[in-house]
Amino acid sequence: MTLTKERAVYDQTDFAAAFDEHHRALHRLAFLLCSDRTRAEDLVAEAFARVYPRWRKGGIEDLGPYLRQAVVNQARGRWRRKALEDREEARQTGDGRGGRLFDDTAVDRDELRVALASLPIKQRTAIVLRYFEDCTEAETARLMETSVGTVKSQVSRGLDRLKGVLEDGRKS
Amino acid sequence: MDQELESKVRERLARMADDAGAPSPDLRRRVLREAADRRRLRFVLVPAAALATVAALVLAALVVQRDGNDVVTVTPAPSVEAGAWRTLPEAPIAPREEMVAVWTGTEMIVWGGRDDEQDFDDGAAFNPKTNEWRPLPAAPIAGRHGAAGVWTGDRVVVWGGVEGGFGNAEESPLNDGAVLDPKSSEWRTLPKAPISGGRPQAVFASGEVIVAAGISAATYVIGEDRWRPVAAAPLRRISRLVPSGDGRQLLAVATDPDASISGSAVYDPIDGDWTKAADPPTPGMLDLVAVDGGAVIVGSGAPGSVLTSRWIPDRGAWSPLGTHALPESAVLWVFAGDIYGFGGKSFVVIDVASGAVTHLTPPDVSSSSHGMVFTGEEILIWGGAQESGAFLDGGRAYTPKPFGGDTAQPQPTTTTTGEDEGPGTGSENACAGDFSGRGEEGVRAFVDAFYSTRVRGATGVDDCITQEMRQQFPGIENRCEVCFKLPLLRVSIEQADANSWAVTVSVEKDCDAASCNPIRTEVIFVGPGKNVQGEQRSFVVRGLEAVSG
Repeated sequence: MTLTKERAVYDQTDFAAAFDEHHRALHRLAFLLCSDRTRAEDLVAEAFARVYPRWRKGGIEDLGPYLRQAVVNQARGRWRRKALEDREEARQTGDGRGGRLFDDTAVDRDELRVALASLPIKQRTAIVLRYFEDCTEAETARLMETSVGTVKSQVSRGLDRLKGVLEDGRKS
Repeated sequence: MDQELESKVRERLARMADDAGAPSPDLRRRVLREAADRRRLRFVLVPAAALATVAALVLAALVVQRDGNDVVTVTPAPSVEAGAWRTLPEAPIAPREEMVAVWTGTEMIVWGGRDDEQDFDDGAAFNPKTNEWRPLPAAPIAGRHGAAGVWTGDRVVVWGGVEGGFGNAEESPLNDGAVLDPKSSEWRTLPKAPISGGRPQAVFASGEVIVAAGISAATYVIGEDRWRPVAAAPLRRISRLVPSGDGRQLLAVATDPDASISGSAVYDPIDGDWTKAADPPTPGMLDLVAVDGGAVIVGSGAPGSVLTSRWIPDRGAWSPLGTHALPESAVLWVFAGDIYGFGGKSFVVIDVASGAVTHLTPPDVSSSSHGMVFTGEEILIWGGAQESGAFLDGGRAYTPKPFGGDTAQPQPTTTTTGEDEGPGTGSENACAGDFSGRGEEGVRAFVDAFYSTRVRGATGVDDCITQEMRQQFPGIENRCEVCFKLPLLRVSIEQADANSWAVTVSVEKDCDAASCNPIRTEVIFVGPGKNVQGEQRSFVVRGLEAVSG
């Protein structure tokens, strides 16, 4: 689909179909980036909202990469806020935290999840894009708006930190 | 790369993703409702948002292009009343501190910086006219904080800085840099420079970029894309470097690790020579900012205060200005000859001529180590660390009031200016608008801006506009004659005690030459400083109120 003078105006039915096609994959990606189902839904909703104006004008040929980029961008911005919130929660006594934190689930014991959550956002994003989304280094760099060299270093450092966790798991 | 490890990570990530479960049904409704709302937009009117003290904030979208079935909209920056703050939209980059912040004439470029876990190699550009951010492409240099950034007229030059330093680790200086063309959004690396890294200083002067780091300095010759060494300065190090005088010279000041000042020197980029200058009288140095015709050095004072001294190029000497209540972490900026200081919860303007301080309405957030630029219309602040240690996730913009006044002082309870009672001629209304139409507050803004000048020459003060005022604010007499018959402005000074003076400023507004609405505004200065006899004292505004004449 290309931009033309007589560009089409897409209606709600089209957008609903696009949502149905992409939202599950985006939700999984967002979940890996933020470890929280509710926040993952927020990221997905915001990603669709950001992409919608351009999509409606017919300026997007393949919606998937745009939505994936939007989720990564949103996760990057929200990660900082979440870190602050988590620190604040850690300082509080009792359990006044709300939301459906992933920590509350049975998979809370998953060492990889804990290790992944402890990675700086760049390392985490690089790891998820490379090994979950199967992006190339160049694709990962484009999505993270950084250089291939940075992706390499972030992936390397991230794997180093995950290595211990996975090796321990292998022994046990 | 360990293929087994990579395979393991893939497998575990896939299992983790399964735990995400199915999105809630509400997500679909939410997304489609949002899309429907956006689709209805043609003209957008965003509701006003109140800031701390003032200002309706209206965001309107303008239709600028109609193409086929679509309407392209451009959202202008919200208009904010002078003296008020507005909140900047969310940036596409993570919060941080110690980043490069440069004003290009149309955009604030933010790049690099750090949070408490990583250095950033990304950046973004904010256009205050469209009120929009755009992400910048990745720079070809590593992430860092404390880098120097300077605008050359068409490029942003970034050089030096440090990386790391998280936890117990040491910071590592970086000896490279890059140039960004904001129009094409293209970066290119700088050639290797004959200087060491660290937290450098950079100044654009005489068409070249002079970068100083520690004991070394070099000039980046833009047209030739090469570095030229700068002669060794007669200083132990170059801690700060700013333009001086008419901008053709640079002033460098050295600070020792124990925060004592070890000297200052002037560099002429054309001759390539240094001239040793007098030591600043201000103990320690927190900042050095260029002001019209010179520079002001800021040193540490008693807790919660700073000391300032002014560099006078013609005399090659320093002159003490005064003591100001401002955190040491404050970032200073210069606008229209006044120094604005922002740090912690304080926001002040320091009158360069007198050193007098006026406390302004602070933003609704505190921040230090932030990026700060002046656009010509607004002071933009973004990022930085708040007192809690958290990084400020956002930015604020402040629109200075004409002539530097603000609303931080107690509001008068009686309004006698008759702004609404005048004859209502077109010219008068225009002038009233020029004076912000704020009635008593407008008078106070005027007095705030000029009392220092008048107090300093207060012997028989019954003239109107001084030559200095005309030079500093061209056209002031034309702007004010209709609203205020300035020849009727009176200032009287009475010394209350050994350390206090009561200053009474009377302003009469001649509405129609038949009746006037006199205003008497009482200003009280206290504390040690410089009095009208020229003794070294500084004034602190304790109270400012107006009473009916």
